[in-house]
Amino acid sequence: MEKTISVTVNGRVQRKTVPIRMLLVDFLRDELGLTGTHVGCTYEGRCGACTVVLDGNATKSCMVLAVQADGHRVVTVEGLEEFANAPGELHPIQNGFWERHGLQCGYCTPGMMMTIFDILATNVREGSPELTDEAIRQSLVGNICRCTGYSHIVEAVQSAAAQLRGMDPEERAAWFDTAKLEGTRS
Amino acid sequence: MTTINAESEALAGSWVGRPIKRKEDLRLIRGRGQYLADIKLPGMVHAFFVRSKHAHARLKSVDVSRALSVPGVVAAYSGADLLKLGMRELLIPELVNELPGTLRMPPSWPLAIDKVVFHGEPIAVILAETKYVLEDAAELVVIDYEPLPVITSVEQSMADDSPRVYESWPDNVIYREKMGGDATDAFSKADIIITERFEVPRTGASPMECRGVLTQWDDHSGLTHWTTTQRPHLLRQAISQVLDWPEQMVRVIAPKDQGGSFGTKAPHSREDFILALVARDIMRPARWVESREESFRAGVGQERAQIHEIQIAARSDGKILGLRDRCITDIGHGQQPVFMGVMYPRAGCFMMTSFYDIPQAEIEIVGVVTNKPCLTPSRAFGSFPVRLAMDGAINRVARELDLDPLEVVRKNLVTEFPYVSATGNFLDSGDFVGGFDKLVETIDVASVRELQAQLREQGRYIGLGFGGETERSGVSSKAYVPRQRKPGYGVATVKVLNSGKIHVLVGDPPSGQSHETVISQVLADEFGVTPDDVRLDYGDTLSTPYGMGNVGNRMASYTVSAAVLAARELKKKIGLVAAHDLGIDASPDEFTFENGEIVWVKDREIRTQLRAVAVHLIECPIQLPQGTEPGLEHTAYFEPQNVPNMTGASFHGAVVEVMPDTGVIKILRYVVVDDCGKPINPLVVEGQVQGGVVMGIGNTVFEEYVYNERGELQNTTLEGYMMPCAADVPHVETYDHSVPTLNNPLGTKGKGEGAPAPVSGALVNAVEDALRPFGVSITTLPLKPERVRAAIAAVVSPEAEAEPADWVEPIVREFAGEGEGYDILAEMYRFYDGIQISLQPTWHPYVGQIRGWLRDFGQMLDRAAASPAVVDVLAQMFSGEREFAFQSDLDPDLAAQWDRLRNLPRPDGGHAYLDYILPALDSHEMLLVACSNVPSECESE
Amino acid sequence: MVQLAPVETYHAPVSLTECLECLAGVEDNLVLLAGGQAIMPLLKNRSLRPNVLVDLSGIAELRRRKIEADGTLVLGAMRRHREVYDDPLVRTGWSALADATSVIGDLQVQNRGTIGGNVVFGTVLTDLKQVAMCLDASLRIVGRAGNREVSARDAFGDAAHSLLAPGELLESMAFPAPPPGSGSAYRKFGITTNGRPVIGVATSLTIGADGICTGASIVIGGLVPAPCDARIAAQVLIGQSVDHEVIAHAAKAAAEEVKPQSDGRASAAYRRQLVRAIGQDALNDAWQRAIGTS
Repeated sequence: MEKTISVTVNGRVQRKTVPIRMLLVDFLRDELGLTGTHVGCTYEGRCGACTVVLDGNATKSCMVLAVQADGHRVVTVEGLEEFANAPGELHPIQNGFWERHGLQCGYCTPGMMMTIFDILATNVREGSPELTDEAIRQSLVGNICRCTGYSHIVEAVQSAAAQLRGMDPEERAAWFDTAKLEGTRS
Repeated sequence: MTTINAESEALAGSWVGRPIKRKEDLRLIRGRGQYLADIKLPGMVHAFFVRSKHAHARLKSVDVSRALSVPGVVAAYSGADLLKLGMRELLIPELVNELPGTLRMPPSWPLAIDKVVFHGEPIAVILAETKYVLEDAAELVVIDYEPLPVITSVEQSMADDSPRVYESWPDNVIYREKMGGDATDAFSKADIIITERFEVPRTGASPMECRGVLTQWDDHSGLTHWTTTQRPHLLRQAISQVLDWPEQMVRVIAPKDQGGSFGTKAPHSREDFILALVARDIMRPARWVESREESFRAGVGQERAQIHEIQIAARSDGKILGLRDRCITDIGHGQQPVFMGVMYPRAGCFMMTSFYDIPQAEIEIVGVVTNKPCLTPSRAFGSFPVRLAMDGAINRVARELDLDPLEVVRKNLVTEFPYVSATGNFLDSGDFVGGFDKLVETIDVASVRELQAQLREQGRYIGLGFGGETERSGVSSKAYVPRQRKPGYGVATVKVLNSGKIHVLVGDPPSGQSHETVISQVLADEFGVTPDDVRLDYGDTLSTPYGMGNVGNRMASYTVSAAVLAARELKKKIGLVAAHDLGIDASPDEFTFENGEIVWVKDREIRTQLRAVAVHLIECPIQLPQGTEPGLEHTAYFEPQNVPNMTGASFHGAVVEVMPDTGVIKILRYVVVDDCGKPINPLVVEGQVQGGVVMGIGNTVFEEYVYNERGELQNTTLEGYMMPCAADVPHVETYDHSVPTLNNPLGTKGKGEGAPAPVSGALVNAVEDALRPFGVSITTLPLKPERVRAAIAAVVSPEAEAEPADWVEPIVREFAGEGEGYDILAEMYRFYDGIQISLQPTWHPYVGQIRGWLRDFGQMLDRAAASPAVVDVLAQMFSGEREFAFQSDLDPDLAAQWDRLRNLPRPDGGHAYLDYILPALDSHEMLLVACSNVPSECESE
Repeated sequence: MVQLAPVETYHAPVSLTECLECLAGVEDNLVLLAGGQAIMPLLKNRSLRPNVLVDLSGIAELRRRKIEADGTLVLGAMRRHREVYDDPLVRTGWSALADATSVIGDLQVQNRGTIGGNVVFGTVLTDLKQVAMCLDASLRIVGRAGNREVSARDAFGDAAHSLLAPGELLESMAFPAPPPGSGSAYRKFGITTNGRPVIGVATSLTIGADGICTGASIVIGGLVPAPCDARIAAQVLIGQSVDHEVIAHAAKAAAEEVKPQSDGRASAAYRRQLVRAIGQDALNDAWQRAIGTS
């Protein structure tokens, strides 16, 4: 019925004994108190509000069991600021959302930002070519927003991408290097 | 797109008008929001509602005892149990509006006692230590239903011989009203009369966060009740009144963050009352977090189900003389305090004439009850179908008179203010002609028409459509009190703290409307501080003044105005004390507030700190001017003095392309010109408009709640109810054409409530314009591609297309496949396939029996496929030509199968995936009957 | 419902052998987890209530990607959709597969969902069965009793066919090397971008240097009871000098060949119309790729 698992969350190893049936999203929210990741649908896994980054990939945490994350790396919205070099500094994605009013009620936002983490990490790996608005919209198909109408979210992504383009390649990559989080935490 | 550099357009030193970054964002982008589901209390239990599986049934018994026996379950209650704890009906007189029409009152028990009237009605509530145990226990609740006939449509509900949803009622009509006046004169003078019937299904404004409650009772504090609500003070009062608990022993707190509401969190939910009672009984905090499926079944966000039979009387020059409309709406069960499903169609009809000057209007509203959840408020509040009807009708007038729709719209716009419509709707200010002209110019109509002509020659179809609306920006007490016995005022408590910082307390909780930032900008200007120096707290009945909630565009116009009035009252006092402290003879209005200082305009060297005055008044209240009381806080109320509401407006234009092959609609351009009085934060306004339009696009093109004839919602997930994603919608362009209102201190009007409504008319008009060569007329939503395609195909028959070339036909003939019975069997294969696929390589709980059943069903399908005689019988059964029954004496194998089928346990649950199993079992039964009715010698090998 | 029914045991085998042992001797109530995108909703809404879950994610053998000597592309059943469409070789050589995997669900689904899971667990409203049939793929199945191979056309084209017996697993899908001058494509139609397909059309064409079509395949999915292998429509193309008009005829023939259902998403008539419209687009894409102009 239960299993003991070790999951690295935002750079820190979390070792807990959990019911096999516990969803990863509930592990994050209830076991670890990381309530930034939200639940917006029932069992269909369609809204995207629960999206986290699992081994570098945007993943709906309601569609994964906690036990499946044993030995794996998860980054949640709370972890975004851990990539920064100084306390109080925000991730370019967070800056983009703040600058461009990319959120209203904020409920879809964490999931949206973690999907964008994947999109921009990929973009950075490819040498940061220009992203079209259309490509951004296609990549956000798995995240539903009911407040913004999406335009400001697209602008937020473009703003983040522009910030990244203004950095040298190493600096850019560091914002998406999930292994780096473990180095900065013990 | 609004740029940050728009700062330079605002007055120097002024925060109002600047698109500054929001204050609420920092915690939200760090994942530190506090939504209802994030709040935990020690000793908390989790709650789960067991809901009705029938849309209409008597409850013969409700047995929660087996649920109670599950380890971890703390308590379980049926309606009968809650009666003993003091549960009373919800629709007490205080919670029912006084309406001009005739309103009937249904019974309204929060937790059902002996009858249920909709699929999803709460019947029992279970409390457990963990949420895992909850669903395990819920499955053990045993309910004995006696199903009753189900009414699911307006036609059924209004039929003379239809069963009653409420047994004591003479019919199923819950509300009737006539508004406007007599339009006979207009219609008698008309050169043309347009008649049309428009229908919009249930669709609406489901937010990303569903509902939730966390509540606890202790004998000292009473009830502390966190809940997703837009109206905490009204809910507090309602709980107190319905449960007969002293009001001062009830505290309602809206969580700091709510994931959108759009009206759906304005009603007082049954669950609030049930959980309050339960919390008091178990003396532990109880938390309920609604799931999406639950929310859909409960009808949250279902609105807009209106039929409009509309007539327009017009002169040949396009001037509209009069309007008649009959609005028929499927309310659902109607047991909803305050709104009763009726307020939205009422409000929509009331504002039907919008910015058109239509001298006479005669509108009848009929609301009927059905066995569906009650309609809930949804952004636009009744206007969405009304705009389709009205703007669609205007378009038809233009077509009929062979005039440009642009000209017809323009000719009929209201030009003088204030204006009172034929229904009594009040328009206080605006520039409709200017706004509309700006839209026309921005969208560059001439170029679009040119492109349209060019593309038509290439067999491509683009079109242009217009829509728009006026919105009420708040509604004042003069309108609300006779109706709801509730006020309409805006109210705010403003405090200047010892430190010179500003603290504002407001009863209305935001759910994404940027209250914190907007109010901070306004008060930063008032007090000469920065927005970071201003803090807004809200939504807790303990600390905020009684107010009627965050609804209907109130914030920027009413709440902000109240905050401004409170600030100005305090500034008078500050000025008085400043003059006194500075030893000058100055009246309070001779000071400016800037950079935390109070500066005398006559000699700018003479100044003091805001903080110093605050300390003087609050901490060191000696040597104050004669008659000055200590303290520096004030609660102010705002209502516009002479008008019932202020008026915002918007004009929408859409350019679409329709793909005739598939019926798919691409929105090439969507433009909104908007009047919000005076934008406080242009980024916020833009976001509100864009979000509202995209919701409107969803409602118009993709979204529809579908019920079957048993009253069961068919699309209970986001896979079935398809809200658009970023790739489904265009970028919405917004432009400002604001006309400040003279009726509040800043000239501001609210924005956001109505934004989805004009989309219906704008898109439908655009699609009809694109398909003008086909003469297509669209009167129902959503604009599903299949519907659009069918409308085109109805005009252009497939045969009109090219014949296949000679060389194609012989190939087709040679390889042609099976016979006609396949269509009937295909349906049966669907269910078989569903089971088959979901079983491999997984196992169903009824595993042994299901394997056997699969084999039996497969054999039956094969038999039927091989036998035209069986297929014939099936065809007769489907068409209703004959009734057949199973003939058991003919074939022992068939008889054995029949027995096995009858004894197979039926799974319950009502989940979409389980829809495979029950119809499959029904199909098997049908096959057995068909096979047993065919003499065996007629069947082929 | 949101929470799964209680699960007793969770296995995460790291080898195929270990996995097959897990499956053996566990009679009922076992569920395999591949990417979980099809299965997790069924678990959460309690349609499935297994006692035992076996997670295939850790089995390296199931994630292999290999080109065999004869040019056959072998993809392990556990390869994720995203890995497949990110693969340049798949994009050029087996374009329909890249097209299809890139439009399944959304980015998150593509990160996690697997090609094996899609064809084994999916219901009729999925994308890869028709692609597998169109590209003449074969399914390699392993079990304690041994290994076997079955053609996708046989497996998926026949409604009554049960792909896996108890205790068996899909190990990989093998896509034969397309003949020179071939191109393939997949197009789907869903009501919203993230919606399941109403129909999905996979096409493959082989065009000789003279522009004559020597091979064609059109398979339409989203239909009950099984994807339709439109052989008549394919015959319309073979031997013809392909152009837009011939493609239009083939699409029309395909529309007449399918026997679609009417359901909540679309009527049969509309499905036919979509086959024609979408089929035409898919055939055009395949043609352009075959003659090297895309």
